[in-house]
Amino acid sequence: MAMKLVARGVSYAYVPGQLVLHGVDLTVERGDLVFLLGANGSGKTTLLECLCGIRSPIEGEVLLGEQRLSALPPRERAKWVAYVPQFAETAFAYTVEEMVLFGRAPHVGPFGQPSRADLEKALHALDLVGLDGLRGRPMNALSGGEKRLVLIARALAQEAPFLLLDEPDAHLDPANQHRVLSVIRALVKEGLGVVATTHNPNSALLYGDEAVLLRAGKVLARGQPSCALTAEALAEAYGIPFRVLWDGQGPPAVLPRTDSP
Amino acid sequence: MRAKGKGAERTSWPLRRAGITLLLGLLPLPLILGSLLLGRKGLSPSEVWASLFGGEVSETARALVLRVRLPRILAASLVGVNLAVSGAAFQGIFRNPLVESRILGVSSGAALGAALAMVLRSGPAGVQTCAFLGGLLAAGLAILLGSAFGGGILVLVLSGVLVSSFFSSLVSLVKYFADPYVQLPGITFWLMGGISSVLWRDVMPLAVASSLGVVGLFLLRWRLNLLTLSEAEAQALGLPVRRLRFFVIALGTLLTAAAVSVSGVVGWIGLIVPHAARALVGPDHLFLIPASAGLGAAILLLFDNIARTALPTEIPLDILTGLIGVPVFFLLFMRQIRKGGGWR
Amino acid sequence: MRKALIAVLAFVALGSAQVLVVDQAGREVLIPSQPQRIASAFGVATPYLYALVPPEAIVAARYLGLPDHPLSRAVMARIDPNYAGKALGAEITAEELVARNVDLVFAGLKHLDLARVLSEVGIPSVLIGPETFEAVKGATLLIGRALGQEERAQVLVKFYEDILSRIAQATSSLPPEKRPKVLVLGTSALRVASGAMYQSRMVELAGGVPVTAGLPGYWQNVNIEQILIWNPDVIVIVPYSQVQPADLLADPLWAAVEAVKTGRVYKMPQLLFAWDTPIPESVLGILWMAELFHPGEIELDFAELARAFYREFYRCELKEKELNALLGR
Repeated sequence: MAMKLVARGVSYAYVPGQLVLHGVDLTVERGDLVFLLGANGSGKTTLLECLCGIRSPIEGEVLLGEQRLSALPPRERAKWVAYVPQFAETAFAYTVEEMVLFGRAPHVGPFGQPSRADLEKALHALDLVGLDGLRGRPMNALSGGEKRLVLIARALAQEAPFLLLDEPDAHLDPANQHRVLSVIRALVKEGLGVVATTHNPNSALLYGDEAVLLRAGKVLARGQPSCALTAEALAEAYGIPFRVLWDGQGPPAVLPRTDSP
Repeated sequence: MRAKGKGAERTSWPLRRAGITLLLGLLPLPLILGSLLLGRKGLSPSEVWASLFGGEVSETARALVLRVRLPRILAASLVGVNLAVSGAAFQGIFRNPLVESRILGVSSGAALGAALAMVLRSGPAGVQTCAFLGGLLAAGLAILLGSAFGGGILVLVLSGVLVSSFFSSLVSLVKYFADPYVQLPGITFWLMGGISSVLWRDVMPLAVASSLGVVGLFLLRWRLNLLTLSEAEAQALGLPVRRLRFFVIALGTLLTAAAVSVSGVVGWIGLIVPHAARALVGPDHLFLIPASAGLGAAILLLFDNIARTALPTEIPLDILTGLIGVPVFFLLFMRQIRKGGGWR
Repeated sequence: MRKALIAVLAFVALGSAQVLVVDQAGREVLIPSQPQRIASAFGVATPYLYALVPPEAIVAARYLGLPDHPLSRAVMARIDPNYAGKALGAEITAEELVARNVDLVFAGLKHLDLARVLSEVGIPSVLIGPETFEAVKGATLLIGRALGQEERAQVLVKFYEDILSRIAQATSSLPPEKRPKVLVLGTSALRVASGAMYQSRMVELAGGVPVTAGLPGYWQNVNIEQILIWNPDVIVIVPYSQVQPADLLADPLWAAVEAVKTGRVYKMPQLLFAWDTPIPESVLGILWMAELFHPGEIELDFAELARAFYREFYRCELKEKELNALLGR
């Protein structure tokens, strides 16, 4: 049973010659919540897509335990690594329940249909994110936060030990942000290994076990969030000055430094 | 901030949806029987009954019922099934409910095949076969072109448009050189659509194609649901997206080409029927495919009944479906614009 | 061949007088003797039928382009008082013909599908496709044979051949310089008859040279520049066209065309059937054109021949006004 998902020396280019990722190393273990940060275009989403196997690195490799991820057929891969993209629109009005059931795809045969057992697992996943009351609701009738949670439930229904999330806290109000991230935190405690990208360093500081800061496709800093996300590191990553605030209780917070006193 | 909710709650207990689907699936049967009573030559119900099940009836009446009306009615139903089911499949693949199988140029390819066959003075069987092969060729070309440039949805659609236009131009070229007295009127009438000359031997190959296509797509019904997600999501869920898409398109093309080769180019059914079916039974292909099949058969059968009985002359099917189809399409389109994507 | 022989023998043996014909689509058709209820699903076939059977035997027919003019209606009514009730539209359904209890159908080569369906209900169809003068004669003989009117058909064919040869005599000796370049226009001013069409054969026999000789296919759309390149001496407009000679004569774009300069733009007259279709009556059209192309040089009495044709083919005596309408005077 693989205990870690590893990216080793991963490089990727969309256009030949223009590398978006340069030899990036990243390890996530089960029971760990790793936050991936970096400016727009620093390669975060690309790295996630390499980690779940929908893109192949042009250099380096992604390993599941000792095994190369690319050696697994897509269906097997999906039993190990689940991915929740940032934007997920469906063209048709599927219900919450139907959407979460889609997560059972790796476990359903090519000509088959989800069984009663699959349905129960899907509902259990929905319960884990606290939305079991919404099972019959059409997806387009949900708020942004609820939609995000449904997609997480879908990923959970895959029963994959590793979960990759692209900006799970984006476009959400503070209450919903907290809701989503604390659910993720709870799941990590249960043994899930999670990599989440974010534009908010504070999310990493509040919830993360590890932070990886990318700049121009390379790892700039890595480690415990409060250690890795220093004002200097953040300034180099985002190109604006930051200051770290700490009131003595709990984790520190960071804010961009404005010029006004 | 809660989005304004729309649409009824729907859970996994599918009794109501299953019921409607069953109803729609069985709908063609009484319609087929009823259609046997319709025709320019008035026949009494007892004459029709006697022709079908044995009894005293004139040879002409029996021949009319068994050898003229029945094959045509069955062909109309099957064409409706094919167009509707392939339309549903293509709407799923292209993640757009305003799409039908013409998008990959199948109809233009079939038209070219038929036109060439007519110019080479081949018989009806030859025309049908060439139409079918032409449709497959066009779709294949569109897919090849699309794959060469990445294989994404947008590129596929563009390739389909290119292939469709190119083949249409070739058809015009054939018409330019066609013999004015025989070939050209034949080609023109074929293009307008009409199953006025369907006999039993035309029904068999159509039935085979329908069975293969519908059963194949039904087997893939849950995967079809998954294909309506974005490509990244479907891949992440472990689906071999390119391969699946290829099979669905192949089956959809089989259905469309077989239909077009019998009835000529008939538009709008593949677009409107799945749309209506989706409104009745939801987007799950478990219900959508049989519902589309039943509804498509029923609707095209009704149109063909009008085409062959309303006037002493044949009304081309494409004209009828267009007259109804275009305003309905327009209404659906406007509804979508106003709701900002209200089909979701 | 063997099949046909066996079929004929079988039916002779059965004692019923049936006729076996090979139609112009190459199909072998068995026709019952004395058909009582004949239909013409093909506009071109209709005049042949009226020439060969009494009007009562025709129960449905396509009268393609019968002019909506009192004189035309009067003449048609004299030939067949009930013609109005028999009119068929294009693309008639097989069942409609069954509903009218038709026992024999005449149709065109494009109606092969209709013929297939009709044969399923036991109604024979004879398909004709005359595209040349020879084929017009062939169609006449074929239809005559199918209807048991072979003698009459022979008479008609001889009459037709006679006029044709007299026209040929008058025009064949004309040297090339005396043959005008002729353009045949269709339903609109820039729609021209190709060199492959029957109209071009008519022009040639009438002693003209069709300018579209090299053009393939069916009616083709051209632009005014092509017309100027061709520069015809005479322009003939088909009778069912929307274009009138005055339209072209007044149009500045056409002013440079030779035919317009000399005012030699004519519209073919039509009383019953259009002369530019492959029917026997088209000889009158050829004659009309010959007189236009070579005024005063054709020593044939057009009026007399026209009267004789109507008498012979349609068994109809034309009144003075009707004759003038027919001849375009």
